[in-house]
Amino acid sequence: MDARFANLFMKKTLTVLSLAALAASVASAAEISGKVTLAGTPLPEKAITLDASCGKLQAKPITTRHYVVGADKGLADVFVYVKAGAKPAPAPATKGPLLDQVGCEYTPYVIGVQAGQKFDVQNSDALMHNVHSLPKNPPNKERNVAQPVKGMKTEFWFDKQEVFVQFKCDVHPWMFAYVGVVDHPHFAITDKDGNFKISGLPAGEYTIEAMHRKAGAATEKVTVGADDKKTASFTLKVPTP
Amino acid sequence: MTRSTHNVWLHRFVCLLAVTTLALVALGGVVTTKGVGMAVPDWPTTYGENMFLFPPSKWIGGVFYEHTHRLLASWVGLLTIVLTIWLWVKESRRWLRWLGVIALVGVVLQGVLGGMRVVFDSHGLGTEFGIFHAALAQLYFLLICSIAFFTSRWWVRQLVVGQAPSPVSSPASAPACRTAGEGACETLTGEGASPTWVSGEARELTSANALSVRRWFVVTSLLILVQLIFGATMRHQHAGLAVPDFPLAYGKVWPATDAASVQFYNAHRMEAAGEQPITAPHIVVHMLHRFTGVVLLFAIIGCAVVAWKRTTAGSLLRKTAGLWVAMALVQVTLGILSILFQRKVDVTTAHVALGALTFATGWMLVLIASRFVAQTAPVTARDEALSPTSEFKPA
Repeated sequence: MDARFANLFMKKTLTVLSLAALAASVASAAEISGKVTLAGTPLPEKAITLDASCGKLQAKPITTRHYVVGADKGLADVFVYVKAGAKPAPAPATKGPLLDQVGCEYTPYVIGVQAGQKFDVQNSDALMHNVHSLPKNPPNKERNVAQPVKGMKTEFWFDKQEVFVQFKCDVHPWMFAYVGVVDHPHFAITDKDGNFKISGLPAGEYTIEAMHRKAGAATEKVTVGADDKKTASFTLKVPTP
Repeated sequence: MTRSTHNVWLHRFVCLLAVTTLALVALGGVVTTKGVGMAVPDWPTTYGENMFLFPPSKWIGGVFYEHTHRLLASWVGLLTIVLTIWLWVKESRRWLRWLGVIALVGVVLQGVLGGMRVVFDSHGLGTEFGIFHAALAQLYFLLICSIAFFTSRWWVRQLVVGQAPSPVSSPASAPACRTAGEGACETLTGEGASPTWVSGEARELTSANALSVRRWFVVTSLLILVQLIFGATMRHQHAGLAVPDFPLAYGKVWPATDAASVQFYNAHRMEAAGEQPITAPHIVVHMLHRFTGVVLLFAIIGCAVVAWKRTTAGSLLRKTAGLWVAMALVQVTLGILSILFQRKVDVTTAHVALGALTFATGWMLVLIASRFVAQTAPVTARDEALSPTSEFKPA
């Protein structure tokens, strides 16, 4: 066997082994799903007074979105992520979820991205917004970008884990959004009924945290094997004195 | 070049500048209350355009307030340039000419600070520059009010020049005195002589009394400055509602500031704008602002009592001190209402503007009292005290 053939053989073998490992990892991807509920009754949300130009874009009055509670006390906009046990992963080439500005509101209110992952912030209104990110964890950088034209998109990313990075619009000071940034892909945002699903987890033991901007955080340890589908439920409380 | 101490139109111009500056302070208050300081993210340009050519069609939302604030600031800057030149050309008192130069330096510095508040916001220094900008605004307003006062007829008429009489404690020491307006008395010492104008009020004040009254005013005015800095710090940190209830604070005289309590407070905050979690230092600054407000109210009442006891009925000091008490009462009420109405913009702006006026009134009282100190001081001390006015020339 000459050296050239040996080299080719090694490469082929490595490729096959890598593919096998990848297939095994995909095949063994575990899933943790569950629900986050809110205990206690928060204060009522506040009505937002829109200015004239934004008022035309909203058919009905809007309110703050501090606690969005759905069916069976399910709490929306909770960032659920693996706090411990997950290995940092390089940022994916695909973009994160779109953070849109529609009717002078950020939509969605909370999104999650991976550290280094790029995502767009868009202006879907026919008026000017500015996108002002306010990270607190260096080297994540504060940026303030004007979007005077409808359809404009600006690319954002954060290099370091930070839960949450606040986004605001200074032109319309009631507009806020929050971005959870972690250094791996294992996170989810609860839907309107408080449900979440984190998938693609390798077998292992994890600490899962459910973090809400107002109601605080709760953690739970979950051990998953290959292909496991585990559930984890969290109850966040409206703090009491 | 003809120079004089009193120029009616110059005085009116400075008064206009003072009113415009107060409007600028109030508009700055609106910008901070609404949390739109960064609605225009660049400086000195506005969204990359010359700020004076920025089209009104783009003055929407927070841009309107921030951009109008910048334009009004430019107008104040222009008026200050005119004032400085006017003073330099027409004013005979050298020290007052230099005050005009200081005002010009101040307004330039203030403009640059406002710009730095924007430019350095992305470096995490926006709040610090904002606090400095707000505090300097108060001092600049004070300086313009002082210049307005120094160019007023009242101030000029209080000049005592020429012979150095014995302490003017009784009308007998001013034999040719004729009353010239309420609270003032002019004594002309003969044809062609320098006028010796002695305030009727000063005649009633002993040197010790005038000094005592002034000391009260100085200390209280300095305390107002401290209070304004607390207020600026609180507002620029968006901690105006760090404690949302009144008269108690989270149900206590002094609220708990441990981590669990702060988390509890944040969980129950439902602010629609400027939403950032509050911290223990925010609460402390807020409470200091409240307590200093109460202390100030009593201090101002104390000043008025002292002024009442040590001046004659109808005197300028007494009347102004009474006005000061009224302002302090309204100011405390506005402060309470700004909490109860959850930082409603008009109430909060009125609170900011009246704060500046209260500070300026305190300083005017210091100046009035200083005038009387000069008039009632023993000869040697008095000559020293009057040195700035030695350039007196009748208009």
